[in-house]
Amino acid sequence: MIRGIGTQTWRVIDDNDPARGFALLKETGFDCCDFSLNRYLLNTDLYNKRRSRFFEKSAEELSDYFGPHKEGAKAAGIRIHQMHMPYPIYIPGNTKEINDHLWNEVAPKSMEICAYLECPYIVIHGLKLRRYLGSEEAEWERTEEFLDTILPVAKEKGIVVCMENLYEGAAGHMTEGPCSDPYLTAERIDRINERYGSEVLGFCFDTGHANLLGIDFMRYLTVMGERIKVLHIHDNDGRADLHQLPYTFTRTRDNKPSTDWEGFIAGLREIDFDGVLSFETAPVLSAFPEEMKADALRLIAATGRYFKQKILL
Amino acid sequence: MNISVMANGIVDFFHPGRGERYIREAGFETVALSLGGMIADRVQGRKGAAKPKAFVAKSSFPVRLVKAPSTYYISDKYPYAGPEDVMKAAEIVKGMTGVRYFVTDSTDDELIGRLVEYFAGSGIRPLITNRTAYFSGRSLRGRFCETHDALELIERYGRDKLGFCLDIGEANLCGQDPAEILYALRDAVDAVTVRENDGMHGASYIPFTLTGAVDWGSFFRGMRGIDFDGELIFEIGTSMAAYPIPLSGDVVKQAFRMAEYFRWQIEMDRMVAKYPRRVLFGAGNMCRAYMRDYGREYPPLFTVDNDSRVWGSTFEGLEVKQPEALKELESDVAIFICITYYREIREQLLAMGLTNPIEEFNDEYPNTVHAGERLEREWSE
Repeated sequence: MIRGIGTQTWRVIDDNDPARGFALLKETGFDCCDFSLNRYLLNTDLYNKRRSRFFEKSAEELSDYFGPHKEGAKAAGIRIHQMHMPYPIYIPGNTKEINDHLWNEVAPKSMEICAYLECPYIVIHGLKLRRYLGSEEAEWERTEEFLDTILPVAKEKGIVVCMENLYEGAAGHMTEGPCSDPYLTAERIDRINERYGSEVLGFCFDTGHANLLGIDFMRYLTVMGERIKVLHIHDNDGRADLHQLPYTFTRTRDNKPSTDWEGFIAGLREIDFDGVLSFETAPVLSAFPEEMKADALRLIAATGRYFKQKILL
Repeated sequence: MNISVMANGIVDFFHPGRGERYIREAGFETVALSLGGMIADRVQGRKGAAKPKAFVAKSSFPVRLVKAPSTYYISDKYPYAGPEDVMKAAEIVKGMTGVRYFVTDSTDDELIGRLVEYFAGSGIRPLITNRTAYFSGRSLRGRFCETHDALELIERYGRDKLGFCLDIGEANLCGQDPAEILYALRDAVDAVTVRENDGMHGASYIPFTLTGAVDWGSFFRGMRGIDFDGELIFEIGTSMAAYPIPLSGDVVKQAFRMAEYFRWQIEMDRMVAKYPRRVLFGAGNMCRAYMRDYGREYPPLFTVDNDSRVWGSTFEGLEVKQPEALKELESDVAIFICITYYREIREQLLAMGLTNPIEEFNDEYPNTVHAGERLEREWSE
């Protein structure tokens, strides 16, 4: 049973008047949202050794800050179903100050915000260290060290932390990033949950990232199965991470979609996916003129309803 | 490890003489062959299948590996092989002398089972491979691009009956890390096809044609990590087609030089392990890299350097001596040149009258990633 259709709060919710943005989401056909906590500490700034001071606020100050958001979502009937922790959570070669801030302040405060907003799932990015450490296994060991700093909080607060499949860029084309192998990822999730005696770790399947690596959606989804708790649904041309609407891209003169949406639908059906169809498509809203924002959102929501109908067939 | 070149793309099977000459003059001693043309020829009404057979029969080159016609389906407009085409190719190959491997890109369990049975006891091992699947103008990961699925099938039949051919070009099309594939499959990998593309189009360039398009460092680490000792095949068809015909022979020579470079990098661990004792020549970064990757297990007696300012000092735990000290060595102590001026240093050593084994070490693609060390220090602070 699909529990809802959602999209990112980025480019919809204005911090000065969050209620209006949540109302717009409801009006355009959504019942859930993916809270874009990551926009309060942009990865582009971090890579340039800049950071906002946002997460230096105390836990109480952050709760006060997001109070209107929580109220606005509730008033509009929008469930905050999932959120995205700022990323990356560690940058090799960056200042110790920034890396300490990310690990020891941003991450735990993100967990507190997630709990405050009564959001059950928080998506995180694994550490991208394969090229530095020489193997995926060594990279995962570091990620697991990070997970062990937030999973006890997850267990206490009833939050499920979700890993996400990622990519890396190399010489103009995309290569595997963390969680590209579903078999390894599934085994690690199971092992960690057994260690914690609780389902503290799950998975976020990102269609766009998978598409960049030519990953077979059906195979990936069926291997991961019920470990998949949340989704990031978006499309790209197979070359760049464009976060556009499904069915946007073609490659041949017969103009059939170049992303395997049938495989995606069939995979979700096969695993009896019972979560939210959440679209990570904020760039669609910057591609369209501001005057057409509501139309664009309606089209995203309509795509979600189409997927839901096909999955339930 | 045996290195071959794919004859297709170099040899015109209707007039094989010139292509054979290119291969011979370049220095390759064995070739691989693809029977892919069989299907195109059948569709176009030409009797092409006989030509590769004739080439093998008359050629002086042993054929070590044969690729079956591709079962890759794009549409009914493009020729592709059905199961009987692949079995026909298997029959042709069984009649060839010296062939060790038969590669199929099929993912059909029944066909693969037939091939395993057909080749049992023949000395020819069928290999599955990591072929991508066609989808609407692009490549998606096929069944055996997932190492778990490939290994499951190989272990079902037994590694002596079914093996794996890793195609680096196909892996690059779906952004896969060569080392991780090699570590997962290990001794199930009987053959590796080396070709370069841009990660978006299925081309076969000589490696290093395109800047940074393939992670060759990861490839070398993976090959060393599994101590690869199988068949390495260079496919250079796109490079051959790109260059003007008068330069075709030079392209094949360049491919052979690249093959020698690949052997040097892949067999670096083996080279180091070959000698019971060794000294280094050079007290710089390459010496440091050697000590980091090999110093504990294969410690040098000392190092030497032409820079007199460092004589008598210690570098990376090694005493730095003047080159004259090498004359005191027993003849079985190997000298590893740890400076990129390999030719000049080798000439210097020979001019000194030394008869010790001389090897060229290299740190362009070390086993330990330099940045990893800094990261480990950061982590522990």
